[in-house]
Amino acid sequence: MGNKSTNNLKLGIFVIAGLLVLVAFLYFIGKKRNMFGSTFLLKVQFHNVQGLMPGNNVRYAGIQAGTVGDIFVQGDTIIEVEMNIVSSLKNVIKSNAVVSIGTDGIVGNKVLNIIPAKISGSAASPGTFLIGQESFNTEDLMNMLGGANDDLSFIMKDLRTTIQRFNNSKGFWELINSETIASDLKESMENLQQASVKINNMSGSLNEIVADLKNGKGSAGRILRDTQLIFQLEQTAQQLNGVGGEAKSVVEKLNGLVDDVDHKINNGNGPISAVLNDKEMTNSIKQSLDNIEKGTRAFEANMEALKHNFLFRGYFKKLEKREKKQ
Amino acid sequence: MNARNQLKLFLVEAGGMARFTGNFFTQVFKPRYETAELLRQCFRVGYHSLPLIGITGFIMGLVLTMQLRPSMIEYGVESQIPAILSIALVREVSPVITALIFAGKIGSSMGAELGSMRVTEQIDAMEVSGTNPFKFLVVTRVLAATLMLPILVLLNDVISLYGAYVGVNITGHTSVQLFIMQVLDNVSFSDLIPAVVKTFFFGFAVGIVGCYKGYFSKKGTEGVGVSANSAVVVASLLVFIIDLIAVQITDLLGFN
Repeated sequence: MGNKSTNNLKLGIFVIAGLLVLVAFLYFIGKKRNMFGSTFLLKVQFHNVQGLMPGNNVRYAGIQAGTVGDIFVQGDTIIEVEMNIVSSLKNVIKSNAVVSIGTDGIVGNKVLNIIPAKISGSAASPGTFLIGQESFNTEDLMNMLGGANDDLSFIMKDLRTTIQRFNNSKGFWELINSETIASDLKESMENLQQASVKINNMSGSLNEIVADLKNGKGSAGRILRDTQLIFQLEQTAQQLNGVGGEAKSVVEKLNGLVDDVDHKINNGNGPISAVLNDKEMTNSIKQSLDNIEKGTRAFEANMEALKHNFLFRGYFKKLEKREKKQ
Repeated sequence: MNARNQLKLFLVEAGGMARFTGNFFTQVFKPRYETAELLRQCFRVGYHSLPLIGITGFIMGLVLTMQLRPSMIEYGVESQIPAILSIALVREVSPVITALIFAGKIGSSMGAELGSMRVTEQIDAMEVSGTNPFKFLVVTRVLAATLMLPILVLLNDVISLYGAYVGVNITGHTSVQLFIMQVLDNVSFSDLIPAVVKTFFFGFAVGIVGCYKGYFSKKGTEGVGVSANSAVVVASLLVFIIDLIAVQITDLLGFN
């Protein structure tokens, strides 16, 4: 009898252990699927749910937050997705959070990611519609990658030709292998540094000049800043204006004088008038001038004859030699 | 002619087994209930089978992990070993392996036990003395097998997963917590429930076949051996056939 009860005890332990395993399995799987424990409902709308199914996980900032509930078709373009979120996140998820569809791993199940907004908002109450963000699906990604691949291929071709050119270029390799270029560059850099120091100094001086100008120092500064000088200049200008007026009257007087003289010359009896107006006198002067010209020519011919005369030839040659020497 | 005879024999056997099963269902709900005998059978069938099934399950988990590892490393998904193993073990390996071991141990013992009782005319004696041998011998054994195999499978799930954990930790390092999380993350109700439900059928099949073969054992010592042997063979075959049907049904119901 004692043996029988021991056997029954062992059997009881065996059966209970087995049942506990079953219960534990069911409980933990259920807990993972949020079947026990309270949840609240949030909603989101998409144009394309990319194969999302009821029971898929919902994550809030990367942590397990719940599961996807029912999925309805609203109209012909909008799909409404319900999310069963654990109650502990009730005050955590804000109404301005963004929901996007992602994948668990590269080829895993679809998941809904609730991304908290950077700006704080009011807590999402049950039934709130969160903002759905359409994300790339694999097809879009592949298309994009295809385009990028083509671009890359072009770039690689260009790069290859460029590198080939570099490889074929003697000058480039000489430049690369040149030992002096580094020191040259260094020297250039030093020069640049010096130049920049000078420029710096110059700009300092310029600053000073500008400061002086501002303060009215120096002649330019005085021109720009000294109000008394401007006053004096104005006075001078006025005086010049007065002088100009006086000059005008002088010129007018001179004009009168000239007119007077002109009149006297044309109509008067003086020698100048006689020279300018008397025709006979003009003719006799002209004749005298002709005579003088003729006499000069005759004298020139005599002088030429003298040069060829044997008595004076020696003297003229001496003169020519002296001129050459000089 | 020989093939025709064999076919006839097969059909007779099938018909006999169907009738036997029908008898079981008519007897099982009728009082009086042989509770004490049922518990004794449960203890024998369940509790005594645990060490054998535990060892098998542990080794199965360990070996599967070690066999899977190279391929998983090749695909760069070594971290997914617990996920794959949990699904493989819970859905298929553990129920089928447990049922096969169970068929080997319990099916044969039932066939041999009832066969020898038949041979030594104990069953006839029971009938004469007014005890219903079918209720006392068959119903209790079949019920015990049906109820104990699921429990054995559940325990085997845990033991084989522990074996898998040990296997994972031979070369790598995964904490118990992470391993459990990965297992629970991947095992869903649709994995566990069909697997548990089908084990009732496995247990029932093993019990029915074992009892039928023993109950209708041929006379002579040879008959006992044949009964035990054919009980194991037919029960093992039935386990696979039921597994095939179960997977078709779960597929049809959308549990996969």
